[in-house]
Amino acid sequence: MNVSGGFPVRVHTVLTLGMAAMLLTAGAGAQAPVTLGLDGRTNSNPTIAALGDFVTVSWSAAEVSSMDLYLATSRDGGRSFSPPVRVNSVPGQARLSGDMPARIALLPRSGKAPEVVITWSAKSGDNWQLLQARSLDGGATFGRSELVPGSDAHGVRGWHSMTVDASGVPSVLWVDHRATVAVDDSLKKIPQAERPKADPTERAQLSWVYHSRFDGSAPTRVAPSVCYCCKTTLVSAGKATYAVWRHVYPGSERDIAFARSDNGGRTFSAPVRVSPDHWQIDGCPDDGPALAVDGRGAAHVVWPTALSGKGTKVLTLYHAMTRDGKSFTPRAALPVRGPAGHPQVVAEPAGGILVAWDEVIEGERTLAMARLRSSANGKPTFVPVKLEGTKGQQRYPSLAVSSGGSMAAWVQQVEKTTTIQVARVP
Amino acid sequence: MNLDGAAVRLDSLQGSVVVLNIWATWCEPCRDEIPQLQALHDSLGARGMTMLGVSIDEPGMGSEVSDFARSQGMTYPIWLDPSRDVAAQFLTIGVPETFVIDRAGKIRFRLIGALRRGDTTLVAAIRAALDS
Repeated sequence: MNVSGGFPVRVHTVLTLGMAAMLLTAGAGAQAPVTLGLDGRTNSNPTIAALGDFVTVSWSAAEVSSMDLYLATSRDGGRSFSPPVRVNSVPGQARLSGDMPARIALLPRSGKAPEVVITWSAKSGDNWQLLQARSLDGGATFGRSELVPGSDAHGVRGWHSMTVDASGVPSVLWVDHRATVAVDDSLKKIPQAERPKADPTERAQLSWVYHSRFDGSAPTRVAPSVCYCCKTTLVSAGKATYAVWRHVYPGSERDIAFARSDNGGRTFSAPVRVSPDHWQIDGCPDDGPALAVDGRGAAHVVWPTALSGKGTKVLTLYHAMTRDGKSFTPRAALPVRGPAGHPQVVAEPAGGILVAWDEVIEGERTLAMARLRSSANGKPTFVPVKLEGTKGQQRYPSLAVSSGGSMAAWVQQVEKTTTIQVARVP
Repeated sequence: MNLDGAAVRLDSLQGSVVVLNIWATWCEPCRDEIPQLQALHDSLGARGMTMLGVSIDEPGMGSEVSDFARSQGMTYPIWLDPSRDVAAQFLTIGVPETFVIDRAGKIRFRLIGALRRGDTTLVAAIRAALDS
C-alpha cells in the first residue's frame, strides 16, 4: 500500500480487547502522515505529547453510544507506533470532545521510558468526572482510572489542561460548575418554561476555573465567571505557571483571560484581559485559547474570536504576547483563509512559535499552520507552513515538540471514515 | 443520522419551512431555549414549519442525546451531527444557532446564541417564510 508521496507503508492489523484495531506505520525517513485509529469506530479528539524520541498520541474511539480513550506510543520519534491501548478502566465511559480532549504529561525517568500521566473527562450519571491514569511501562498498560484530585464533586466539569512543573509534579486546570448544582436544584420544582432566565453574566459567576496539583495539596479556585465550555490551557515554564481561559466579562463578552502563578499554582494573579475583543454571545463558543511560553519567558496566546462583517459574524484567530504577565501586545491576526478555530500553539527549541488550527474552506474543514516571525519594527507576522500528505477533511490539531522537531496530530475524515493522522511539521 | 441511526439529508426537507437549531446537550443556553422551540413546533408545525434540532454532541453520545431530548420534552426531530458537517456548512460560531430556511432552501434568518424570552424576531421570520 502506498500513500501520497510514494513512501512505503506497512499495514498491521492487531486485535485489542477483541476489537479490530488499525495501525499504519510510515517507513523510515518518511514524511507522510502515520495513521492511527480503530476500525469501525469514530476516531477523534487527538492529543500528542513528546519527550525526546518518546511520542504518545491519545484519541477517542466511539460507537453510537459509547466512547473509549486509546493511546499509542512511539519510541522512534513518531515514525512508528505501538498498537493502541485502552486507557479507561470502565469500558465505554470516556466522554471527550474537540475542546475537551485528553491531556498527557510525560515525566522523565532515568534510564526508562517516561511515566505517562493522562487525564480525561467521563460521565457518571448526571456528573461529569475528571479521571486520570498512569503508565509505568511506557504506555503499554495503564493503572485503574481515578478521579483527578480536587475534582470529586457533583455537577459538570471538564475543558481541562495539564502541565508538569519544574519539580516534576503534574497539575491540572479545569472549568468546574459544582456551584451551579444548588441553584439548579432549587429551580427543579418550577416548570422549565416558567423558570427565570438567568442573566448570562450573572450565571457565569457560578462557573470557576480550578487548579489542582498531584501532590496532595488542596485545589485552588483560580477565578469565577468562566465561559462554560471552552478549553483551558495550562503551561509551566521555569518557576512560573501560566493559565488561559475564555472569561465572561460584563455584558456577556467572551474574551480571553490570563493568570500567572509563581508558587506552583497555589495562588494565581488576578486575571488579565488578553485583548478587548468584546465578543458578545449568549451561547457556547466551544472554542478556547491556546498558550505557549518561549525560551525567553514570553507567553504567547492564540485564540478565536468573532468578527462582524457583511451582516453576520465569522470566527477568526489572533495572537498576543506578554513578557511581564500584566500587559499584552496588541492582537495580531493569523493568516487564516476562512472561518477558523481550534488553535494550538507550541514553542520550538530554536525559538519559533508554531500555531495550528482548522479553517473552513468551501464548506470543508482543513488543517492550517503558521510560524511566528517578528519583523524589524517588532510587529509580529506569520508565515504559513504547508503540511504534505493531508487528505479529506481535517480538524482539531494537536502539537508537540519531539527531539526531531515539531509534530502534529489531527482528525482526518475521508467520507465516513475518521482516523488520527500524525506527522512531523516541516 | 437521526436518533434511530438512519441516514438523513437536509434537502429531504425542501418544500417546507425549516427551523434548523444547532445545539448540544452540554450547552446551557441551548437548554434554556428548548421550551420556546418546542412551543413553536407545537403551534406552527401544522402550518408547514419543520423544527429540526441538530445535535453536535460527540460520537458516543447517541443514547445521552435521546435521553436528554426525552427529559426536556422535545418532540421535534433530532439529528446527530458529531462530525459537525452542518456547522461547517452553515459557518456557525458556537451553539446554539438557529436558522430559518424557506421553502426554496434559502436562509431567511439567523440567530446566533440563545433565543431570549420575549424575543419575537424568530417567530416573525418563521411567519414571514410561511406566508411568502
